[in-house]
Amino acid sequence: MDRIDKILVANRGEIAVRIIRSCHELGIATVAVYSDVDATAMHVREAGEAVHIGAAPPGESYLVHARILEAARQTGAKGIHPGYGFLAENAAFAQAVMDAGLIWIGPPPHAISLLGNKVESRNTMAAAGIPLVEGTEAGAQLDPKSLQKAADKIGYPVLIKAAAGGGGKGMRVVDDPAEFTKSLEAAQREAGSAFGDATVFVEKYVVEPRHIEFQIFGDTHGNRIHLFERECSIQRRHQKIIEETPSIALDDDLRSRMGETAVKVGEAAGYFSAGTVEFLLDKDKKFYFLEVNTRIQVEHPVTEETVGVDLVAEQIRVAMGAELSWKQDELRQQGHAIECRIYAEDAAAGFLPAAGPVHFLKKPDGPGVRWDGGVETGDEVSVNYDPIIAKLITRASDRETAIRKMRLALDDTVIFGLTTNQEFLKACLDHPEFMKGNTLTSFIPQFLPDWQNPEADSETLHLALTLAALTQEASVAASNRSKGGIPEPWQTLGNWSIGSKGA
Amino acid sequence: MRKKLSYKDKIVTIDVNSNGDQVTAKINDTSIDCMIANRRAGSYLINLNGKTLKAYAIREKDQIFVQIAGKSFFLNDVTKDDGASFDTGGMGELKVKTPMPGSVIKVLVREGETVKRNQPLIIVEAMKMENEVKSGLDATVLKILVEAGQQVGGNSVLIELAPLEEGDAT
Repeated sequence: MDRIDKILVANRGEIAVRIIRSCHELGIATVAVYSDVDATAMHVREAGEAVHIGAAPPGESYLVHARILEAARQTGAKGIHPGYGFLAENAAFAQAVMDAGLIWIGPPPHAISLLGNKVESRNTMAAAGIPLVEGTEAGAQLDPKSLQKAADKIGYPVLIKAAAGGGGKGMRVVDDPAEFTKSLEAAQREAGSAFGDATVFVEKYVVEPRHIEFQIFGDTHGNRIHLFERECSIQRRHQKIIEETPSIALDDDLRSRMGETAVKVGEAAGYFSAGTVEFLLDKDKKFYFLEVNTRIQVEHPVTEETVGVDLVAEQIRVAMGAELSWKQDELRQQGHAIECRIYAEDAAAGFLPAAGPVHFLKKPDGPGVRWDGGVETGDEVSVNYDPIIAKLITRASDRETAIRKMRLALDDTVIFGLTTNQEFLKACLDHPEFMKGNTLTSFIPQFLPDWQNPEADSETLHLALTLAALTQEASVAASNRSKGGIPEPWQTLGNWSIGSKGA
Repeated sequence: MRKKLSYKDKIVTIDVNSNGDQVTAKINDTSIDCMIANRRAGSYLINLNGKTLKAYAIREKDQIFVQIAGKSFFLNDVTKDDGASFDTGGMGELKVKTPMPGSVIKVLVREGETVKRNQPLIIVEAMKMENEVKSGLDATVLKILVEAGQQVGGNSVLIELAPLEEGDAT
């Protein structure tokens, strides 16, 4: 095995902190990288060393291949873990890391590029016999007659979608073949005016879909397994906010069929390390392959909590050339886990990001309550990056208990200084349809449209006013301000550099 | 102590008095009588009619953040006065109070003494800063309720004054 004694984490925020934790647990030293605004960020505080790599915009720091490789060289890091986002699914960077003689802690570059290309990945999976949502080829220019013929063959309902599309524009569901021409014309008009491109394609409309994904893992010795499913149907702005496992929509038979299919997807792509195979599951329990995310996922903790594994540590072991720690028939799901993503955003105003200072943060704790955070009291959620504050995960013996536990933990979470989505998360969990498991991808628009933060009862409001009237400014904040703020050590160091012996 | 707080575009006037953990407040026609204990920074326990509620509150300049039983509030202090440390009690007496919890460093006057407006009466240390509590007007010191070294809660009465009658100050 190719031991790594130091890893550079090419990321920031909660995932960088999470990776650093697993490295230290394995006795591996860590290097953080940071932009101007992250000089004192939590991931920098947690890592053993840190290297400045540029200005706040990601394009000038966290996305610059050369700066990250140079930071690794400078600190003697032997491996690079990309986290999620930024360079995690960048095949060219993965290759550059390997070309520099370093270990890339992730899937092989050829699998990243294959799976990152929609058309290529669809063709590969079709050839491997993976079930796909039937449809005409994206990008193909077809006349209305051929489109109708394709729709008739696929079977109704079908979905007409703009090729250049997004956000529901140029999108029509057609239930009745007689309506096809009318809907097609409307979709083309909408697509033309919204995107300047009237090209549409037709695919099978998946009725009442759930978003079910399978965690897969492979090693460099050809072993591949899955670690069961995660259900991630509660989404806003096409981004997940609540995830859980197991899914109540699966029984043992369906679970093992989907799991086997997910492993087959990995085989077809020559995949190793951690990956996520996404499926749509319709109301008749038919499932369709969507895509593979070639990275550690934001929601990986729910799998860790129920299967009893450390996925990041396993990524590192596999990157060092070790065989997988687990065999398929040794893996079991135990209990239920749920994750809520706590974002700095205004759920009552279109989920707009709400960056700002964190004046006070108190996280919940206790057995089966896990907090994967990226900021602490005194930190700032920057406008430059994803406004995630933390992921809160609860685990219990069954789904209802896990949800109730999450509800209590959210009440016990205090974040002062900026607007968060805590109240919205509570509204999701409190909705009777959530408890019933009606967690379709349409959950938020269907059950919580135009959500507003509910008014407090008058007793609580009066107590809040009373407490507010008595609250004094903390001495630290006030005295810092009277001194003009805490001088950053970087500002006071003067002419000083690491490794120089001085004059 | 009278405070004006803005909450959701509304301005609320609140009269609040505390003695140790005992707090009374009046908001419009509602009176609140509760205990508020603050033993750690930002963390409070409220006891209202025997019911205990977990609460958190911090203040940054005029911004105040409160969370009670999971429900959070964002308020602004819009009280315009400069935190004058006196208010009128009954019978024309004046009660001199501390603006914040702390400990009494020194009492600068004696009972029966005549004091001038703005004359320092007592020094209270709070948040590691010494504050001179001054008289709001020309008066006679009626009663001193604290002594040096004593811990005092926010808004507790330190000294009672009686205003000088016209012509007394000779």
